[in-house]
Amino acid sequence: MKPAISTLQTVAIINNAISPTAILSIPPVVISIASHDAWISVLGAGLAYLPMVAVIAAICRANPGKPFIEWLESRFGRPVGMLIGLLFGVYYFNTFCLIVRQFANFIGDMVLDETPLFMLIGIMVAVAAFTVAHGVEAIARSSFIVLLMVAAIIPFSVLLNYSDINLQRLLPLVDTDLPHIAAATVSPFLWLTEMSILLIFSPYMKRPASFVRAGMFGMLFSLFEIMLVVVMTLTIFGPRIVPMMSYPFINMVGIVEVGKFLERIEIFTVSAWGMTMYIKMAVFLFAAVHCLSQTLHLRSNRHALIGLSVLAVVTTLAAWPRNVEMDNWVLYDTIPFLIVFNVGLPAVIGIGLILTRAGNRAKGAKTS
Amino acid sequence: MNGKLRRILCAAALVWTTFIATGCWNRIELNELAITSATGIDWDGSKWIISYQVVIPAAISSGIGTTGGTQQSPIVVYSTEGRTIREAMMYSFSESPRKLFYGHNRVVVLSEEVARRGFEELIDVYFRNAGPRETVSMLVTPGSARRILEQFMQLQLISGDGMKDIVLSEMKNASILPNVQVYQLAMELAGDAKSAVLPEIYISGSGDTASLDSFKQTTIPSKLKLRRLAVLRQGRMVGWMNQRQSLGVSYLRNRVQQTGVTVPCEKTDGTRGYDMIHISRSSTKLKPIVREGRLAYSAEVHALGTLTESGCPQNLYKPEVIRKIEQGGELQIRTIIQEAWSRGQQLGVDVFGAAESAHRKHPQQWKKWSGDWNSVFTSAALETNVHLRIARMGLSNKSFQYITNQDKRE
Repeated sequence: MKPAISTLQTVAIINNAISPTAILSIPPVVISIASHDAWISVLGAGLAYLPMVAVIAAICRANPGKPFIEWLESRFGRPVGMLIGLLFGVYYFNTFCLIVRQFANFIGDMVLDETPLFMLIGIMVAVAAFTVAHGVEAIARSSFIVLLMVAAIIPFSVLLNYSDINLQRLLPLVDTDLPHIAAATVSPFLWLTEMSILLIFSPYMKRPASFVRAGMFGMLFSLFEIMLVVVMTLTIFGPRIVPMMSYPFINMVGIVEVGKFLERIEIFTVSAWGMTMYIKMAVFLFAAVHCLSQTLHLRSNRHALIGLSVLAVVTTLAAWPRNVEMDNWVLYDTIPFLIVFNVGLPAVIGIGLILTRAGNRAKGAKTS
Repeated sequence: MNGKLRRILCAAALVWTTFIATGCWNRIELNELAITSATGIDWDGSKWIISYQVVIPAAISSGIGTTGGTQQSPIVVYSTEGRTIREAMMYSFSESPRKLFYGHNRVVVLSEEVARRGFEELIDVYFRNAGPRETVSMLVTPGSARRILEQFMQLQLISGDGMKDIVLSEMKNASILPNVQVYQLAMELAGDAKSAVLPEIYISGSGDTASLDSFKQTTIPSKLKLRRLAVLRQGRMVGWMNQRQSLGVSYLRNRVQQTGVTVPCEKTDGTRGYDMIHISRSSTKLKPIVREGRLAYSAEVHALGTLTESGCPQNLYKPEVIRKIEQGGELQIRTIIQEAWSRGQQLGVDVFGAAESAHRKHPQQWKKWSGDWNSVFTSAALETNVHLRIARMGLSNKSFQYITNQDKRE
């Protein structure tokens, strides 16, 4: 396998795997639990997740450059490798469906309320599949361009909302009791666990030495974006009305009025943010296809891609008949789901690697 | 499939998508929309009456009145009724050939009856639906909201737009009344004090200016004007504040951008004259203080101004004369602020942000106060310190009356 992606592109992939849905979903959840101390919860979640970055990077470093599932098979044997591959494949596929549905709901709520959901979902899945069909390099390059665009937009967003920001709305500090602040860390922590996507993309990196750096910067930039949106939402709207907003990030941009010539700019924000969503979809669909085709030892990814895309359209349409069911899934059901696949499974792999280290060394010595 | 055929099929598929994805099912042409510039909300005791001021684009482009062009009204007003706001809006399709578009709605006018009844449903509609904007300005009128929408305005073709401009201009240049947008109102009503304010709009004069014939004369029979401040507690209007009290609220909320203060002075013959100071900058810090277990407040106002009118014989070269005018201005501002505070306490409504500042400064005590904030607020004293500096004297120094009365003094 030819290494194809740079460290910066990996940072962009990790960032786009976390932020797009995180900035949409996290603010109302954390603010409804921790009120104006929500930003402390987000910061706490970032600090709590830091050790996991090291674990994920250590697993990546143990891989000599083989595709992730192939390497697990060679290390733990085929049955175990296949099992892990299938589990990861199911996880990435489900997450992909969830992302598509979140984005389709958003577009339906905000702009295209009369357009049937199947049309929105069909187009979204088709675009993601088209990107994935062009391979990891296409995803990495697009991801980096989108990251640059986001980095350029952030200062403008802050500047346009500057007059609405009142930092006093963050006071008094630590007014919410600690159990609530701690409870509010769960949601951002879980979103940050999506950084484990590095396991899939690390074998494609040109510089294996920079796994930690890529993981750390990708996670930190995402944390910064989540924090910025939470702080801006709080300082603009205060803690009371945010819980009733489905998309406070969009409400925040929606109130921008500069004279009579700059109004209703949320459509530009939605366009820019939409690009990050497409990257996120492509990243997770790529991971699902990668895991499935590696597990089943398929010669070509294309069949898996077409099959999973069709299945994703049907699943995304049928899994959540009502939007509220998806919201509940995002709020509550994803907790064990993300913990098992983004924390539990990497931890089990890590433990497995430690336990099989001696055997692996002996095997290596024998072959040499 | 050979490569050429494949390319042709791909190109055909792409061309096909340009037909099916042109805005999908939400495609709508501009001439299918009725652009709403103002909305009126009335309540008849059991139903909402929603009035819409809709722009007629063809009439706008040609102007109105005696300036030539068409005699067609640039706006049309109509109303629908329903048990819910959205139900009333739904019935608009029964009488309008176009779909109402709220994206350019500038103001929402509530009747006093609606304000006294409460209008949480309206705020919910604004946050729940993508069409209406949360930045729309809200106003209260003592009579019917529909009647306000029916009035024409001098200088502005679309009165909905004109009402918004008046609110913004007043806020910028006089700072008596605030521009309250839907999301700000929601924030205030959900805040620690659960109270808010809304500016009043009313028809001054006799009759209506609802016909284009009114513009054939230099004076129109009535005008839309801003006046008092409606005070809301727990989502319901409980009373009014006059313009002086409203300015006091602006000072205490640190919302004064520019305003004026009129200072009495004595003329040579002993009668009263007035100096006018234009306040170009002002900042207020409202601080909660706990004295012997009781909550009190101190308001520290720093204002900077220009003398724009001198109504008495004053030698404005002398610093002591300026200082005297400044002291007079400080006294006026202090009185305005105290009047507003007393009125707020009389109505039992904290519209000054006192609850928020107490919560921020004394979070532990706030847990006790928040249970019965109303009684804590109504018994809280306010100490006001005003520091006014007249930085500029305008283009003249000695007043004209000083020059004309010089002989008498000599």
